[in-house]
Amino acid sequence: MSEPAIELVEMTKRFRNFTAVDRLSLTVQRGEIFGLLGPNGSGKTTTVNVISGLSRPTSGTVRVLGRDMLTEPRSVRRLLGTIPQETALYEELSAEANLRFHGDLFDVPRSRLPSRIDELLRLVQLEDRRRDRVSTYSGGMKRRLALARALLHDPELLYLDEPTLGVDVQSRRAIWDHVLDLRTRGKTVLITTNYLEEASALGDRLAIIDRGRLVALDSPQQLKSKYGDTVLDLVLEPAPSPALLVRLRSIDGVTAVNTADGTLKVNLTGDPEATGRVVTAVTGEAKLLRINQHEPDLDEVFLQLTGRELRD
Amino acid sequence: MRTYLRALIAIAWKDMGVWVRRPSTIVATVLPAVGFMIIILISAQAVGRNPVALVVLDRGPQATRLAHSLETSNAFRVRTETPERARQLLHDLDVAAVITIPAGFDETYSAHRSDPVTIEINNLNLDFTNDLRRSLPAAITDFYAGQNDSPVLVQVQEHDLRSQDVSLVQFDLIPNLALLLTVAGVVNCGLATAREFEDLTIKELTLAPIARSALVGGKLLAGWTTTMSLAAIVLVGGAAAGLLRPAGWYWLPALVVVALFGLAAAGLGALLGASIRRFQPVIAIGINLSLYLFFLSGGISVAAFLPDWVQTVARFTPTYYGVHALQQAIFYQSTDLLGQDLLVLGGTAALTVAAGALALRRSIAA
Repeated sequence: MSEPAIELVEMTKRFRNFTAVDRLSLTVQRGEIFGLLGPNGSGKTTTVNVISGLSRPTSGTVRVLGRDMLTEPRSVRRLLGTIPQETALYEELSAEANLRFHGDLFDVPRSRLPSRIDELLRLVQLEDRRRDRVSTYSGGMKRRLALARALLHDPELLYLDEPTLGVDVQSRRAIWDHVLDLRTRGKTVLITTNYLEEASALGDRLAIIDRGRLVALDSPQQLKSKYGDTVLDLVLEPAPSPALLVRLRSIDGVTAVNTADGTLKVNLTGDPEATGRVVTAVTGEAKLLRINQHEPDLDEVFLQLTGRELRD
Repeated sequence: MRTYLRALIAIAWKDMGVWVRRPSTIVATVLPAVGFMIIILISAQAVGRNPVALVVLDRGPQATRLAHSLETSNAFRVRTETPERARQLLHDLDVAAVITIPAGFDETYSAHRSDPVTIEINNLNLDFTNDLRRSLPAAITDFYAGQNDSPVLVQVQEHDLRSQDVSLVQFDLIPNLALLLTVAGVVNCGLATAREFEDLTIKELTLAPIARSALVGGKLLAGWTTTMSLAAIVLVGGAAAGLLRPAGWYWLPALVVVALFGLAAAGLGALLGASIRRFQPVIAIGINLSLYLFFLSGGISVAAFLPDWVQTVARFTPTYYGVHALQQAIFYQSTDLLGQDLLVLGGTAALTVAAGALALRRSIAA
């Protein structure tokens, strides 16, 4: 059996007195798309920096594609393709020149480099703009070029940092298709994102990190069902009192009660009577202005797990 | 090794590619030197007052009157000295010439005989040499204009320290070349480094499976090469125009000095770029720093004729040694103090390259 693509064991990273990642353990299997979610400052960027060798862990073990990142960083980097959030392209140069430079850095055989560049520019549909300066590209085109660059040296593991941040809907869809295609080609993809829709659409499994700790790890579907089958969104006047929140939490079938943006969110199990009990409890204290019942999304899972919204 | 060199050359090639696509940077690099060259061309038209030592070996009234005429002629800055002290001052480049009124001047004057007033000139460049050649007869003419007797034939004898005369414009091309080398090295390498951090492209480099030394080496190679390409344009143009044309093997020390100059400046640029990590401050600091180095090494004048404190500062300024070595090699076919000059420049290059490499490595690790 092949070793996992990524294996973190009790990994901790401290910056002076601040612990960015606290004893994080997780395993990413080869060939899966793995999402890492968390608000800004949660520790996900630090985690990824450690995985890609940009930062050394304070303690713990980091193995990437069966290699120890601490002792073999260069051989790991050769197998790792990265799309940083800011794309990090040389805007004065053409797409072709950017790819040729990357090929030289990753020592792609000279005989293979031209055909590989052609192939990838075709894949990301930038063939006709190959000689244009990157500074003339749209945000979506730059993202696609960054994807082509990350794939140029045929890496086994790809890390995508907010791959669709700031791109239009059409480009986002195209990038998603490329990412899903990577899985069919046996690549492992590690993706960090704040877009829960994106994490749900792409990720085989998701890890939710908050304050440097792993708070949940499962498939998107499992995460949703584990933290409630149904969510009630209620808008009340006046706003619910602390006493009402306590009372709601004690009702049978209620798994969590939170407030967000002036909306009371009540997570319920599959008990069909639970909705009625909740409505009775709230109308006894306040006027019910609006009610909406739906399946939980990852925003709500995150809120339930951490007590905070993802973009806090 | 092949992979290492491929990465190093790729980084250098990429930096040069970015450089040629940013003409504004090239203009910013060239502008200070071009500006000073224009100033020199204009100021070359003006006549300066050069420092001269006056040795008066006759205490008679005519000799005293001639000495007074010279002192008040407004053609020189005169200081009266003993013969030994005057010779020392000339040797130390503290004065441009020594004018000697010989013993027995009054006696020969009264007898209406020819008596040579001698002038020893340090013909460092043609501009002030000609100034002296013109000024002394003019001052003597003034002296005779104030006499009622018939004039005495005065013969001026000139002894040149240097093998050839150099025009002021030619002479000042060297410090300007030094300014160009410094600005180009500091700004080109500084910008290439700072941009990687400001545009966040440093990630592309740090995530690549390359040695840190290849990254540092590539940056320095690009900074040095772009600087040398600008120097080559000046040197080839100067040689074609006959302004900068070292004879025979003196090309070699001239090229070595230019190469060391460029390397030292590129190292300084890498240090600035990696420390500041923002390209606008790098341009501002790089150009200002280069101008300070230019003036502290004498600038468009002769450092040896500047006030003592400037000369003291100049001796701690590496560009001073570079300018001296280039002037000796290109104009005077001389290796005078070449060893010292090369040692200072080589040491400076080694120091700045090491500091630049260290700063870059630290910035990458941060």
